[in-house]
Amino acid sequence: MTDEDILSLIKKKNDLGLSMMAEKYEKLLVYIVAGILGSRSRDIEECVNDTYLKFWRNVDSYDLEKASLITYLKVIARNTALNRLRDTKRHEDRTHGEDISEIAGIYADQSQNIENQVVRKEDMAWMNQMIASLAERDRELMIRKYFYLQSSKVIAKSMGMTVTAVDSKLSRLRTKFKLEFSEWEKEERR
Amino acid sequence: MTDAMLVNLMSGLDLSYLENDYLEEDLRQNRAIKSRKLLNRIGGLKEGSEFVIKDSLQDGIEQEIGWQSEIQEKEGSLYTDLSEKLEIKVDHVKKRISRIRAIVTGILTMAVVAVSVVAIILKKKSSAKLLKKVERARTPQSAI
Repeated sequence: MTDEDILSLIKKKNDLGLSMMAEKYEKLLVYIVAGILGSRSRDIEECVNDTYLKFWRNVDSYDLEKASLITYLKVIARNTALNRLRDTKRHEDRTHGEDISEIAGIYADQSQNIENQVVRKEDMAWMNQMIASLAERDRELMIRKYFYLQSSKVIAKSMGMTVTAVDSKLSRLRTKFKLEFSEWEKEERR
Repeated sequence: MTDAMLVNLMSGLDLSYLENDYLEEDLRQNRAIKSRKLLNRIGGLKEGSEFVIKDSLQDGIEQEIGWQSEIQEKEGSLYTDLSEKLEIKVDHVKKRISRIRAIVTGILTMAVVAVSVVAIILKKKSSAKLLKKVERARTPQSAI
């Protein structure tokens, strides 16, 4: 069944569309969510269910000419998992075990600070420009690390690199982003 | 700029940068070792198995549909109630206006009548005074 057929069924509020979508994409969604939440099965299952429900509720706002069905699902799953990670940290205030990636742990801790939560549209536009300026491989690194919150180990395995090489490359990219951002902020304030 | 800020900034990532199969490739190459364990643990899909909507998701969907119909029904009955109430209010107002109109007309009519009566009386008085003056004027001549 094509994505257009699935979307059409869901727009008609037909459960079959949801079943077809899950059959096609559930593994990927579990993979994305697990990368952020670790191995807490219950959280992962609820998160993936929330992804389907959010998609179901807002189905009319998705246009397959702008992006594919799986891309929309990736975004929803990622953001839902991040919200859950943040809420879990806020309410339970427990130290995350080794099962989540180091970046997810850092995010959970740092996101409690209000300053880190404020993101303006202009900042996001700047981010997209920076991503566009990167070479394909560097772009993939940044997206895996900061969009999907994958650990350096997973990134290294996926991209055929060593963990040291991944960390080193990411460190250089991070420094570049920070410098460019402070330059851009100075320009903005003028 | 912190790591958390970078993660938050990525929330605005242009969708075109996600139109790739980085993660699909991971799954295909069985690089997602953790996820395989997880899939087994949560009873994930195996090849050829049928997806069954989980109860919690089904409940969520049915609740959503239920809410939507409730809202539509409430809106419908709310609309009917409101329009009825509005009609009643309009009737009340119309009746009040006609009563006020009748009262004002009555008052104006009485005022006109009163003014006319007063005018007639005043006119008679002034005519009577004039007649007396005329008679007085005539009387002294006859005395001589």
